[in-house]
Amino acid sequence: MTAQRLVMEADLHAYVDGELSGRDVSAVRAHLAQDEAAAARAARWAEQRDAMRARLAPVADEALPLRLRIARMKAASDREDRGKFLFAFGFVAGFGLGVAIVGALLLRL
Amino acid sequence: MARRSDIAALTPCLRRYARGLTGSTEIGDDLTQDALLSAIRSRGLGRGAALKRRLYAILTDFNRMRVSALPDPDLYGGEARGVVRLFAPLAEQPARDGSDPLAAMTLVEREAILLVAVEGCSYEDAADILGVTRTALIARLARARGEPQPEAGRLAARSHLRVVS
Repeated sequence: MTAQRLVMEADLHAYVDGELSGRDVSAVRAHLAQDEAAAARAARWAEQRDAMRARLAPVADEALPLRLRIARMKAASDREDRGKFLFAFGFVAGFGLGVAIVGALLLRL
Repeated sequence: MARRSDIAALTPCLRRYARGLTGSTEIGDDLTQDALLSAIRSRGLGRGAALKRRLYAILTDFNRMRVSALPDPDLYGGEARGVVRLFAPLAEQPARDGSDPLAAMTLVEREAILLVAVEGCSYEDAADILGVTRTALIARLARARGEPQPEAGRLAARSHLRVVS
């Protein structure tokens, strides 16, 4: 008796998505050659995949807007961090100075 | 910390994924910007494939938060409130002939099919990004492809292609 492979639905998805190794690809192809309904479904899924790719692929080739350029974002983030540091430093220094002044005034009284 | 150049190299792909998720250049770019800002402020994102998975996961999470916070289900072209259904068409590239396969998918189906079919992620990577099992990922792909909910046994994750006589 000739050995044959049992192809399940998950295998069809994996086949369309390029997840199968060479031997498994051959097994699925052999199955699709005998099962017209499964072949039609796999073809429909591949068509859907190709349509989405064709639609969205050009997006990755578009020039990036300035706000998505990493160097610019990093510089803005660094500026923000510096601003937070200076604010915290100023707050602590001002508080310390205030305490010193109040302390000095109390000592004079 | 991930190198800036590594994140920059992935930016066009993240932007494409965001465009597919939202159907809008403006909202997609907002989403991409939020994800990138989060990434450049984060530590421990890794490099290479790990960095790629992490960036896609961050963007996916930001989009889920955005959708669940929509005050009006009809805002942005008819996205349903919550992570239930997204009907938003690809607004700037309208498929007037009804050929937009993304238009009728739920958010989770859209995430799965975009990662696998457009972004070229392996099942392992896509499942990791979405935080689901391989079987759950294939179930989402099946629904995105218009197939009825398959029985769990038919989507056995790794037991495929066994020899029978």
